[in-house]
Amino acid sequence: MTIVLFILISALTSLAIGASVVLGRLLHSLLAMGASFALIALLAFVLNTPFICFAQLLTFLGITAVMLLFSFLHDEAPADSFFQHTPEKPLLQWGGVLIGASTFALLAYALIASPTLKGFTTLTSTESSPAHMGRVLTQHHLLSLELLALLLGAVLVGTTILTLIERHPRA
Amino acid sequence: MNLLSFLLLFSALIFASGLALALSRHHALLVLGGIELMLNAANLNFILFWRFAHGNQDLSALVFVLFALATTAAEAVVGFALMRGVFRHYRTLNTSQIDLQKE
Repeated sequence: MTIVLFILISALTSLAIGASVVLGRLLHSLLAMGASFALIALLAFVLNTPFICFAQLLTFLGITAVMLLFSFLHDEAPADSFFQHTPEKPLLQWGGVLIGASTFALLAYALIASPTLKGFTTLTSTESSPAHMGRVLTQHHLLSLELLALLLGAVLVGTTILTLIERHPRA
Repeated sequence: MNLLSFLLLFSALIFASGLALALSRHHALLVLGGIELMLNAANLNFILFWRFAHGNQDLSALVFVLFALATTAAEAVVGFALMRGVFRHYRTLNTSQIDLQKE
């Protein structure tokens, strides 16, 4: 049953990612990307990591929402179509796909040829409840957590400064 | 092929698709989305190895994923702020047009 679920989620996620690569309209691509983020979070849930699943959902659906807002505010016509070859870079689209396909082929070969992976055959019984994660974070990784909070604070200040800088638009 | 190999292959597919998306599309938002997909694939690898490791009760991998998620959010926020600046300057988020206007 779990294996069927894994295969189903993988197939749906692959479809959503493929759609986000080839769909012509920016809005459609972003919606497909949001669906793929949600499906990857669902996969994390099936892998018995509910805390990570909800953290992923919050992070990536938030990012997708801001992307959608950007696409509404900065809507540009014509849409950036995958199949539309621009005169200045005619083969850029297929070059990117070729590089992606080559990367996948290389990684797939490495995974299939690896003898180490044959030892990991079954899912282990593990506990990763939010309470357990909270205990681990506060007891063993408190300094890292504080540094992360510092980083996020710095990002907040940095982005505020970046967005407040006024530049004159090009004519 | 066992389940871990299958899911790692799937993770490699997500990574490669993110790379293809970042390289083949011209819109800055989609390039950022491609990078997020690649980061998602890396996070998925951490979860998979944690889940399939024999008798591993250590949650360090999940803690690492959590930190990576927070860093991803930070990176996205900086990306959005930069995009806003770029849009105000060039009036477009199409990377090929920005490149042309620079020349």
